[in-house]
Amino acid sequence: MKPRSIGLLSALVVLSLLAAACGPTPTPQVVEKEVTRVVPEKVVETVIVAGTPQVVEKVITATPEPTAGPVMGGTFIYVLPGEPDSLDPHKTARTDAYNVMRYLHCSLLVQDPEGNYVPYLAESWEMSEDGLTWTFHLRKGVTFHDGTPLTAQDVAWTYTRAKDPANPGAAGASLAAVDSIEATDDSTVVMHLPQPFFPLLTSLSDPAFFGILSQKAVEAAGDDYGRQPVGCGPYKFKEWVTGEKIVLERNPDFNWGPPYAHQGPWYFDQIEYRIIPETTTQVVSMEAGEVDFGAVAPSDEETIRQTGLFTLYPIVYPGTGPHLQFNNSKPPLDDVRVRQALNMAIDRDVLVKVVMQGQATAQYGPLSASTIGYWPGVEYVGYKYNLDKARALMQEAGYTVNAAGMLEKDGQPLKFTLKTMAGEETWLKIAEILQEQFKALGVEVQLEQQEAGALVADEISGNYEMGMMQVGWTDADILYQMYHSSMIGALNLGQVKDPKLDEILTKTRTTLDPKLRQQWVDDAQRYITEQALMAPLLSMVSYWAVNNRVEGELFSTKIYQLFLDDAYLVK
Amino acid sequence: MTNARQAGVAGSQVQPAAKRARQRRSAWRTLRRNPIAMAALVGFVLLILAVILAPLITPIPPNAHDYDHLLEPPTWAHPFGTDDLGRDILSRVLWGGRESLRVAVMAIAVAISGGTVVGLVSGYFGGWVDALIMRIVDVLLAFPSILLLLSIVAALGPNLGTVLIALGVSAIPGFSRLVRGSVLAAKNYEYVTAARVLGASDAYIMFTQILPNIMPPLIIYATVGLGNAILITAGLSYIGLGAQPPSPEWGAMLNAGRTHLRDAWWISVFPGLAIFLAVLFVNLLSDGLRDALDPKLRQ
Repeated sequence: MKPRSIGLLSALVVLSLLAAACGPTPTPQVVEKEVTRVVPEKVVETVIVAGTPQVVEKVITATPEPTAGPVMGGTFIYVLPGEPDSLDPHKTARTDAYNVMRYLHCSLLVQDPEGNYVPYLAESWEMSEDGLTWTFHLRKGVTFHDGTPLTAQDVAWTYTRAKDPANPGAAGASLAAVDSIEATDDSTVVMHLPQPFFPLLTSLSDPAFFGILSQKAVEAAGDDYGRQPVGCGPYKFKEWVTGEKIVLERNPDFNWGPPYAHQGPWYFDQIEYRIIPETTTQVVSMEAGEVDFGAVAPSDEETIRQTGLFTLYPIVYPGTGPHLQFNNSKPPLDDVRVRQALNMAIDRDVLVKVVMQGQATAQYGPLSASTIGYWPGVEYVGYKYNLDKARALMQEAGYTVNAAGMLEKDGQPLKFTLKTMAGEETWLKIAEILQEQFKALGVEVQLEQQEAGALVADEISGNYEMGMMQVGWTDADILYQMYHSSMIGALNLGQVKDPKLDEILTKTRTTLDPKLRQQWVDDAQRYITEQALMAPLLSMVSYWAVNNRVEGELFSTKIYQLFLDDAYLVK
Repeated sequence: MTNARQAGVAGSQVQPAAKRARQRRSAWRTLRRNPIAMAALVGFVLLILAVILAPLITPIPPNAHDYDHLLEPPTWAHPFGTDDLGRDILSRVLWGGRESLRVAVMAIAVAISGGTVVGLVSGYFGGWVDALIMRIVDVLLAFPSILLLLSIVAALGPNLGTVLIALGVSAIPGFSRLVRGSVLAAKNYEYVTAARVLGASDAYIMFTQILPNIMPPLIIYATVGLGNAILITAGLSYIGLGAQPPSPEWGAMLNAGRTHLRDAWWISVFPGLAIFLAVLFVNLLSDGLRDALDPKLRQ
């Protein structure tokens, strides 16, 4: 990946080059949107153009604010591609649940559009010299949706509950690094750590999985809490019609807010999540202008753009990117040569061209380039397509080519089952191409489609050989969660148990100096890539479509988040 | 229906074999005079031939990716166009037919064999054997067959082999009922009594005396079932419970074309057309066969 900050001049050069070289892929276009909000001087919108990894910056001069400001009212309709399993943040790790919970719950801090950690529930915080004690001072007067006041005791109780191994939520893996959480008074929370933990603030800035729950409400609802959540965020739970929709309504008591946005209740009356699993149906509902927000695959980008109804924000999801997960504990995938050979049998340029119509880049390491802490060195260390070398490695690993041209060892042909998610068309297409490419190496692969929950469960428990997966996370701490041996049974889907890697990963968490920490993160990426613990595939560009009737939304290309804090609907 | 079919058997009191031959000839004459049924028969035979001769019709393998020809509309090189991995749709439809038709035909074969044995035993022996078997059949018939199918597939895992077994097994109760009804009527005929008096074994009577005489309703029911089986095989593959990618099974192809319905109609239209034609031919043929084999309708 090339450096991401590029001046305007070079940006223009890149644009004109693209226009000449785009060929059969859809003509690259620049996202342009009439900005009708108050802007001090100028707005810089960062845009990724079709067919290139380059980030291009386009300067749009400020338009004077026309007339009326934000207006209250209306229902913001959000396309949810899957049904959440639970809205209890300690019982789910699913993206669909995350997207609902982020407006329902509130966290100690948040990240502003520039990626800085800013006060939210906590007005201020401090870390002890040794990095082992963190103190948070809470904002006073905040209440939960049920009217009970939010106190430091609730915070301590919430995080203690999240740490409980019986609760499989996404927060557990991070909070495992915290020894204890205590409330010293009604508005002060103290966290004690056995050793410094670099990504603590990143975690605590996630309003969904790290949202604060009302102890009273959770205990009153018992097992039903996941379907009748009580939070402290700008929206409160209204209803959940299974298979159809989840509706949140404005929390009128939300009279505060993060420093980068207005203070007070949000502008939409309701946020309605329409559960639409079918891609085609999602596109149709967008074309009809029935919805306000939805994710758009590159193949549908042109269709949506042509409606003229939406602003499309290009996004590279931070985290792993779609990759091929190996079960490193199962022979023959416990042999590094086999894993390397499989990596070398993948022609990622074909994936980019065929699956993503050029709107992606080949990925060679465990992290996608938009993840905080990404190490560009993986592009040199990573295994490139080289079938001859792959064959040589397989031979070295003891495989011979049989009469049918397939690899075998001791008379046993080399065969794998590759699991993928039913209904996830992009993954299926990738899997079908991998099947062909592995066949060229002499490896037979059978595909098996599984429902999302079953696939995740199988990969967690190690009941698979190869599987498609993508895990979203803003920071490189995802490496610890996915490759540290203590995370087997949680996110260590590859069932990796490597003392050397464990040591490196522990350093990525305990080193507080950002520069030194980055070196450990780089090391981890190098090691994981060299050991071929999985097969990286693509960093894909997809799009977030926001209906033009929505004003005031803010898309951050720093942390790839859409901020709706100041958004409102115009009629 | 069943009563009318049994009437065809009712006339055969003496020399069943000779009478059967006569019936067969007459049925064939009736069928030949039915242009729709003959067209359907010819169409179905052509379809089967095309599927069997697939490698001669198109040299392109069904799973060969061609990344330089993605989503191409029908051309001379690819008469049915190509899909999003550059695979030739014509080749996939033909090879997919092998899967779809083979599974449907084999499933019906399973259902006929199972249903015949169960129905013959139940109807011939009567008494508590009959009561027991028929109550079990009643229980199975009480489930909607699609539910039975889905549970079998869910238990055994999604693939075409499972679909074959599930389809076959779930159709057994229907066939058993039909066979048992016909046997009940046939077992009291004089040729059966005669065979018994001559000392023939139960198995001999069941399979060589009774079975040939109850074939007409069985054949009609089987053709109806075949059309149904083709549809269900495709349906299960369409929802991901049957053939797994990259299989070109028709239902699986339909599913794969779903995302491109709006920009590449040819991916789903041709396998859809294949399913439509196969089912149409089988059903029209089945209608014609019923007319030909049913003596009452023949007048």
